[in-house]
Amino acid sequence: MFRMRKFFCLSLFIILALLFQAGPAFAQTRLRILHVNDFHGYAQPHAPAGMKDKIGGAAYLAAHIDALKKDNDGNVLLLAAGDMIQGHPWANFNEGRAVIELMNAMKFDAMVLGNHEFDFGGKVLEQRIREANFPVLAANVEGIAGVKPYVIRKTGGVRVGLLGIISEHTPVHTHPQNVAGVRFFPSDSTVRKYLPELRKKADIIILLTHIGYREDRLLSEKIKGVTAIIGGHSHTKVTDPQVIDGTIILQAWEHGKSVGILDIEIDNGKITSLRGTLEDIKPTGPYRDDVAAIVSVYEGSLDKAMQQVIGNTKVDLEGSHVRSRETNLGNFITDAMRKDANTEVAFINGGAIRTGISAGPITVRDIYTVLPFTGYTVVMELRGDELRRALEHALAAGEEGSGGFLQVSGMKFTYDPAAAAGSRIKAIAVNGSPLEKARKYSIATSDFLVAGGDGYSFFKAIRQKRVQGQGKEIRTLVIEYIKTQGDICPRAEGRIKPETP
Amino acid sequence: MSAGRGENKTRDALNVFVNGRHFHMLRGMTVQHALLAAGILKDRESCTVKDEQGNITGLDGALTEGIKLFTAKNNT
Repeated sequence: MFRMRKFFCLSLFIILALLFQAGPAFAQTRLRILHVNDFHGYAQPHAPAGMKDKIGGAAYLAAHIDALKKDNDGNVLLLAAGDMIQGHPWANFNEGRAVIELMNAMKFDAMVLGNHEFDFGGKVLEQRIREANFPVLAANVEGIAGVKPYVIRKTGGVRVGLLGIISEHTPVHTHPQNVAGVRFFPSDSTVRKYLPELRKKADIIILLTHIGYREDRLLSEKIKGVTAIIGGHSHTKVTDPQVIDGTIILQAWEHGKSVGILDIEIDNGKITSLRGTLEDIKPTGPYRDDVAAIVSVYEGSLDKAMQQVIGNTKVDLEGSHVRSRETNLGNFITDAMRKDANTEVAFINGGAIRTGISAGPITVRDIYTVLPFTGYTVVMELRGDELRRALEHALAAGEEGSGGFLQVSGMKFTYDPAAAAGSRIKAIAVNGSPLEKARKYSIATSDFLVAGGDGYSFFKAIRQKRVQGQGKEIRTLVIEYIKTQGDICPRAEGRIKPETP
Repeated sequence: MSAGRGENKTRDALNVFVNGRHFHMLRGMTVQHALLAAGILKDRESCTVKDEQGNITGLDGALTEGIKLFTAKNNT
């Protein structure tokens, strides 16, 4: 009797083991992998610049995903390829918590970290990871609690290995303090390190990356045995995906404007078909009520945050002459930039400042109205003669009334408005000392100007420069500066002074 | 002025090509910055950009080493 029971138990064990064994036991299976990337908190339908019609919207995206899941009998994984929680004020004002709530409601299966996931700092990121009901991946990162290198998801009897890879250059994409104590490793060596382990545990391997489409293609040429690379970072709309050495390379644009669909057909353990497509998300037709409710709740919070009084100005902050002369508002903004970047000089183009603020309480919305663009600070070194050239260009721009006139901090200069363009500057002093032609000065300015905007094309050739913190917009550091001051009373104090002989 | 951390040796300057013209761009900058550098965008207006495979690329997309971008004539 005992022998019979032992035999029965052993047989049951073998049958169960065969049923659940990994590898090519499954016959014909169709897997569907849905993916989004670079959502950047764009929860509401929106009309991108130059487009009349709205596109996207999390509630519509969720309904579309549900329909795509239904089409495939549930053998579906939903993945996010990074840069989900930061970007739009809807997400920024709650440091990405709202996006994680959306993703939980939509039942994401995994996400890879993007560089912008670090923009609220390591501690906030760890909190977001704790809130997520799905694994957050990045095999080439050390120092963030809760991040996993990979995860195995079983669907349709197939074990899918998902390995996360983030850009190793993340430290230059975000403020240095956001990645303090965090280590990043190269993509290709990290993939090679984990592949043997994954091959033992998974039937198919998918790299979930945030390194950019071009880097994904290069990576596919270096590694073998990966079914798909699903990426983000370059915001690429891959409508006609290519298969390189058996690996399909995919990316689904940006801002929830489309969803990527990868259908994988497997027969007797072998992949017989790989088909990738994108479907655009339009704010028409079915939408998910619960997701719409989350969007609405955080819209309300954003509205409240925008109304928050952050300080008080005793004087009108002058925004109407920022393209032609020194203003107290331009002085205040550039003072905030110089303090945040800890440089000798700061300047910004007048065109970045769109309006003024009347004396009285200052709200967050006021600052967003004054500085509507999502610019951030870049620090560079300019020689004295290069700084002079920039100021001559600013004066020429001021004459034309273009946005290239500069508002400055940490320096004063006088000029002759009647002199010929290019030789108007009479004297320049940096922090009280005369400008030295050959000396290098540390400068904080905007990404827009460093890229050559408003005619500052010669800034492109300056090699000594670094992004001060893409995660902290100039308007955010101005808000922080006002909060530390409380009452402000900036004045035009002769930083830019015309002197006619 | 490398800001790399951990094991990575990162370079701040990227080689970027816009309509065949070569630009050095700062790592961390986007497609929009490359178009500003190329003088294609004067301000923050819209423009359709494609990569060398013909894929549409968002203006907020990160630049990566060697990326080749193309704009349609009617956008310039």
